[in-house]
Amino acid sequence: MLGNFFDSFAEFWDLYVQSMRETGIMVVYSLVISAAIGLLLGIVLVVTRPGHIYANPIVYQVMNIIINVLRSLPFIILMVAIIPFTKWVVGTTIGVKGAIVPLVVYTAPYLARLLESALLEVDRGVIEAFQSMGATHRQIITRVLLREARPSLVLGLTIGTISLVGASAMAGVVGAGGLGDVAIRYGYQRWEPNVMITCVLLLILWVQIVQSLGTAIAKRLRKR
Amino acid sequence: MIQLKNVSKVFYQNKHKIEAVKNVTLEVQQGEIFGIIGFSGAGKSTLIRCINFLERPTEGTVSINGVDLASLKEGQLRKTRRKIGMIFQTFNLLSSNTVFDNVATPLRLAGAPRNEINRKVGELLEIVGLKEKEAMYPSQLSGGQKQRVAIARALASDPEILLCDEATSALDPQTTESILELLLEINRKYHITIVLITHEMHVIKKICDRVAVMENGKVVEQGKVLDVFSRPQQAITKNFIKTIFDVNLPESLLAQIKQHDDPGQLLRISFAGDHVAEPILAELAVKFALRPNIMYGNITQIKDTTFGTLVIRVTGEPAAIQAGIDYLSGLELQIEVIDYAG
Ligand SMILES: Nc1ncnc2c1ncn2[C@@H]1O[C@H](COP(=O)(O)OP(=O)(O)OP(=O)(O)O)[C@@H](O)[C@H]1O
Ligand SMILES: [Mg+2]
Repeated sequence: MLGNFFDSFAEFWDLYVQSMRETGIMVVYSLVISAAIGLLLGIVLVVTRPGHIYANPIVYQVMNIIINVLRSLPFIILMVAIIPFTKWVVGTTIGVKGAIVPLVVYTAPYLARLLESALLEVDRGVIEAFQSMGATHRQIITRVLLREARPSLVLGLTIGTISLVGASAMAGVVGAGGLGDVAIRYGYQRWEPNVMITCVLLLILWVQIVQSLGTAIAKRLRKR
Repeated sequence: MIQLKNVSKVFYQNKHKIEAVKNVTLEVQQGEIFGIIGFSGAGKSTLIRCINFLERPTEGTVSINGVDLASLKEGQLRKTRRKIGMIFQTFNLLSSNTVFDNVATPLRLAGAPRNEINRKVGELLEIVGLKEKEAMYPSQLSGGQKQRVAIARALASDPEILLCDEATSALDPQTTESILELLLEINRKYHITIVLITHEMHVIKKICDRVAVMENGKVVEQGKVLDVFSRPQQAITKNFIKTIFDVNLPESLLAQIKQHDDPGQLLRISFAGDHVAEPILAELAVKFALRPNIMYGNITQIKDTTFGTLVIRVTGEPAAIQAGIDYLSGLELQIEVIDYAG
């Protein structure tokens, strides 16, 4: 039984390497883009609240609603629902390119919420102290908000990345490849339980690595 | 130096109107330590935050060196704020920065060159006595040390004014003492005008020159600390003074006095400064043939001045007693006849 497993592992080795690569590409690209958008949105959500440096109830409420709407759709539905948008942005709806757009639309609002709550942890008193020192709004964002929140921001990114790994497995359906695609095609459609088990183990490995890395970085930053 | 004219601040919370500061007018002189005392919720923080426009007054004007802050553009206001340091009850340091970097903050915000920053921060850490802790993070410091870092940071931009919002309220009595000493030293050596708010009369007594008493958003009494101590007008002021020395005689003592055949007169004598040295009781006895009897006495230090309160019972001829009171009044002592019969 176990020998059987190893034989199959060797047989599908190239497939695993290939699918890990595809998952990696999808996750990294989507993560970088989502993190940039999510951080921007997160900052806007914090600084436009009542009483904050760029207080603006209209911007705050509109952003709030948009993010809530996007956040209420499961990935698989969102992916189909925004097909026209995806086509408009990257010209295709299949392959890695076609997967990255829905992955970003799915992950960025989630990250925005996670990073928003990280930024909200920053003590208002410190912001006030900087205002009393004549700091500009930009200096307050870069030197207080982003700096003080670093450990929580990293933890937020970690959670977002793990959810991204999960979503990327579903993106296999649109032919973007990756571990999810292999699991469906070989594990489910061709009934190769060994491939299924390997894919599950590899996904677990991914999540473990991301989580440990995130926790370690946050811990290092928090030590101070 | 600092001029507040009819300053009011109204907050709206869920359509509910909160008048945090009501029509406050006061002036702080160059080089003095001005205290504002009041109970929690009196509006002290709101008022002090109006001085550097962290809070914009709803009405009235705030002028610093004759310049109305409301007339300044955003950039000019930021420049003015650099000349007004501020420290807080909760210190408000950057937890992700070392002591050195925290103190360097105002210099970096203003884009000072590196060698200037090194020199200035070293100097400031020397002043607050934390030179050897410059590489530590705030979480590794005690409350008193954190406040010292905050003070050094506030001084980094060479301010003319230092605002202190309950700077010692989170500290134990001993640490409070040492921080107050430091503030006094800063005021004397560098001629920085200090405005501090507190709910402890002890803080006012120790370092303030003048004081304003706040109640429900209004300043109900203000003046030189010594005057306010010797002639408190408002009930709230008397209550604050009572927190550091109790001038009321115990009921049992008053009852005892009333039982005497000749109860005489009860006098409260308050004296400040040089008069402490005069042998007034002996004078009463020798010059007016009165018999003074000490019921209660207290001597304390109000900033640099000795301040004493003495309650005496004098017996003798009514006319002589009156003459004695006139004599004491002539010495610029504060005399009050205590009505114990009522
Ligand atoms: N931003 C705000 N929004 C609404 N109400 C406020 C705000 N800031 C202060 N207040 C209200 O104004 C009143 C005065 O508050 P303030 O903080 O000035 O009092 P304080 O004298 O400093 O009290 P404490 O000794 O507790 O610090 C309080 O009733 C408070 O609830
Ligand atoms: Mg307060």
